[in-house]
Amino acid sequence: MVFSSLEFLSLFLPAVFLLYFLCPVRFRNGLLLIFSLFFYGWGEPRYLVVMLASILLNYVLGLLLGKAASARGRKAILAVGVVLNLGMLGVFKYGNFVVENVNAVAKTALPALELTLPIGISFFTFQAMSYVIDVYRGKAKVQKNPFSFGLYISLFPQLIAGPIVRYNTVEAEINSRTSDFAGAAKGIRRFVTGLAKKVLLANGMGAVFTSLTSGGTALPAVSAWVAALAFALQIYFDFSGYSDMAIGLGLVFGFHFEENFNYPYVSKSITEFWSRWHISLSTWFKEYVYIPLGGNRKGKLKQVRNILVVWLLTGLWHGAAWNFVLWGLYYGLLLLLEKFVLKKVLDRLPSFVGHVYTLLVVLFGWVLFAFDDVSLIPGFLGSMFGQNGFAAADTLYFVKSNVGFFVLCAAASLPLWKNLGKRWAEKYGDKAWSLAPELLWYVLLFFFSVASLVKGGYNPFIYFRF
Amino acid sequence: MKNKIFTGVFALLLCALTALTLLLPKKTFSETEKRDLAAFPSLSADTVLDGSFQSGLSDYLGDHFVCRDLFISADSAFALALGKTGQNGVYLTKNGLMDSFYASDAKRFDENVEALTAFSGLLSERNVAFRALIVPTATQTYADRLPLGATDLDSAPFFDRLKTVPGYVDVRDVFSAHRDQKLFYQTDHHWTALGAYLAYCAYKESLGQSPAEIDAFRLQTVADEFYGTLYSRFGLFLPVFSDTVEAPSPDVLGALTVVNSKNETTRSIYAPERLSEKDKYLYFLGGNDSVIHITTENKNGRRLMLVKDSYANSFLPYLIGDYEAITVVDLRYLNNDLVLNMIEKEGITDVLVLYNLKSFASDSGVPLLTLE
Repeated sequence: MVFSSLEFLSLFLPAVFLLYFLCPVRFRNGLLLIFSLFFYGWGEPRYLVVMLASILLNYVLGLLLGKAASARGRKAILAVGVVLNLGMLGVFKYGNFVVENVNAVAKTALPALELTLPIGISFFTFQAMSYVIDVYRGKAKVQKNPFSFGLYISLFPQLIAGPIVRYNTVEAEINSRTSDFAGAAKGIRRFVTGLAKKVLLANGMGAVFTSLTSGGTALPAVSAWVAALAFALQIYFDFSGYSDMAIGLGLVFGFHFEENFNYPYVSKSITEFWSRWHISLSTWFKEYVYIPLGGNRKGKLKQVRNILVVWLLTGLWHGAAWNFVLWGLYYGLLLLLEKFVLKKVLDRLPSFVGHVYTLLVVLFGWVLFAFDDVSLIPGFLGSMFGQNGFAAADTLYFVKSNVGFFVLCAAASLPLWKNLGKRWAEKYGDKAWSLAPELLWYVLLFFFSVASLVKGGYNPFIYFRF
Repeated sequence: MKNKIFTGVFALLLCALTALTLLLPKKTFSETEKRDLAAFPSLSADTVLDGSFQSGLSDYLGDHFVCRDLFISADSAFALALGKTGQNGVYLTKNGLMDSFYASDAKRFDENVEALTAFSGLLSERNVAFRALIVPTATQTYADRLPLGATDLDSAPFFDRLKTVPGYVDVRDVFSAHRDQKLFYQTDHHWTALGAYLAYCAYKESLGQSPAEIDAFRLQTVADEFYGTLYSRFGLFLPVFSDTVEAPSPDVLGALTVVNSKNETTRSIYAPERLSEKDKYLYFLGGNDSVIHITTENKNGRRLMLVKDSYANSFLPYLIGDYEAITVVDLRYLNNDLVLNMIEKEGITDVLVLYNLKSFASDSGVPLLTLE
């Protein structure tokens, strides 16, 4: 199930809220676990098995780590855990990619695996590994209650699109948490904001991108730039919208997840961009890969190696295709360049240079990201540089029809609104009347989001009825 | 306190949406969309495992959501407010809604023109008079009314091709000359009684005959507040534009015998009972049918076959006085009958092919004309 669907909003959500708050506190984890598994199984019931296997495996690994006394034993358990988790991810996510490439290189004809990707497997596998590693490092206690542990892995708010919640950040709240009206109201605001970002902004930008690129990548320059911009806005609002919804739902239940996005498009450098984009993933890689590899403590050469390894993996994490590898390495190299050369230059230049540079780099990055058929990328880049002319006859109308939408999306990606909201809260937050405009705003966002979902199924059949 | 109220309002809102959606009585058919709405999916282990229950439930909720029309309007209004004057292939202009013209398959049009040419040859061998009348699009007739920058597919090259068909009747000039009158509905993709009359005049003149004045047909209003297909497709359900449906008086047409493809006989080419439906254009012929046989009061030896799309339904009344029998053929629904056989068997003396350009360019049935 996804958050941006009528079945989630009008069936699942009221049911889980109602039962959760009617239920005695000691049964709440069990109830949430059942709902989370239901949520997961909705899309692909067979893959519930994968989810349950992951829970069982990592639960047992935790218990074993708790029992093992010797350092060597603990290390062995950790190694087994990492191998099994990555093995599962590897089979489901990268199996076909490996088969295809082996076939291509060795001219063999290995059959493709008949597997579709279990939704969210990249997220929950990383969460599970964070638990095993945290327990190994002694940063977290062993979770002896299998239901609590199952809840951590499958908790539906962040299950399918993050943020990647590291175990040590929610350990306490899994075991005991409180919910109150302040948290609920805050959570609802956050959820509705995220829903509107996903449904009203991201889906619309996605439609723009698809309509421009569905006929191939030979586009006039204006269309290619508009398409790239649309993709950049789509992926930001989609991803950060999901994170907002996850954080918001968490708040209603009393969980406090860490922030995942922090207005990445205002960054003045790529380094800053990655401290604002998908923070939970960067943190995960930093904590569980970069630092264990030695980080920056073992000389420049090793540091370069470590950065490239992390970014190769980051690229691959986003998908099993070569364009993601390219995309990861693109950022790895750019970050190295910034670290050793560009940073000193950028610091001396006016800040708008940094903004423009960052946005351009990110935009070209999204071009790599958008086409998982790598062979399409040169054609699209050529289009951006005018290979197919500047504009076509219908470009004006297309731009005119969408310019309002782009302005809205661009404005919404700035921290301006958050700051205005903060100032509003400071000034009027304790006034009784301020509830009315706040309520109106969020009800409108919710109303138009539902409207868009309802319209999605609206399908007027033009001429006749068969 | 504020937080309590805020939370309470949203809790109520969610519960209300759910309860109303589940409990309110359901429609099974949408007149606006002209399709059956999704039924509640069947629940079993199989349907859950293959996901058909889940996707069925999603469709069901979408089709039966509470205040569905309001939500659809709100979404269209939101897009319009951001500058989207074209939605779902329909332009909103200050003179009404206009259907955009596109030809999804360029080859199909060429095939149809070739079929039409071949058909005209076969008819001249059989001494049957042939005319083809392809109606220009509203977006061509009123290109200046399109939103700024909107470039609908240029239909001029299509008509250049059509001009090569022997017996082709061009009505573009007549339409241009009368363009300040209402030739197309403002909310529907069809033409008005006046548009059809002008085309009738062009048809008659092409046969070397003079058409009757429009007053002779005593046009009368049969319905107002008609909100047609363009209105449905644009999806903004506000009564900014509405149409009136006019038609020649039934008294002018005389006594008719109308036999449809199911062998049911009626006395009129009008279906007043369908005026209670949303699509009031169904007044004409009661919609489309594969073959309809009409016998009139005239005795002049002229027997017409009208091969057509729905544009011809409102054109037909003008033809009634000119023929003693009219066979109306809709190739999109025709099953096994061969058009040439019917022409021979029924002693047809005249054939008129009447389509609007958009449906002519996309109808896969046109090549059926030449089957022997």
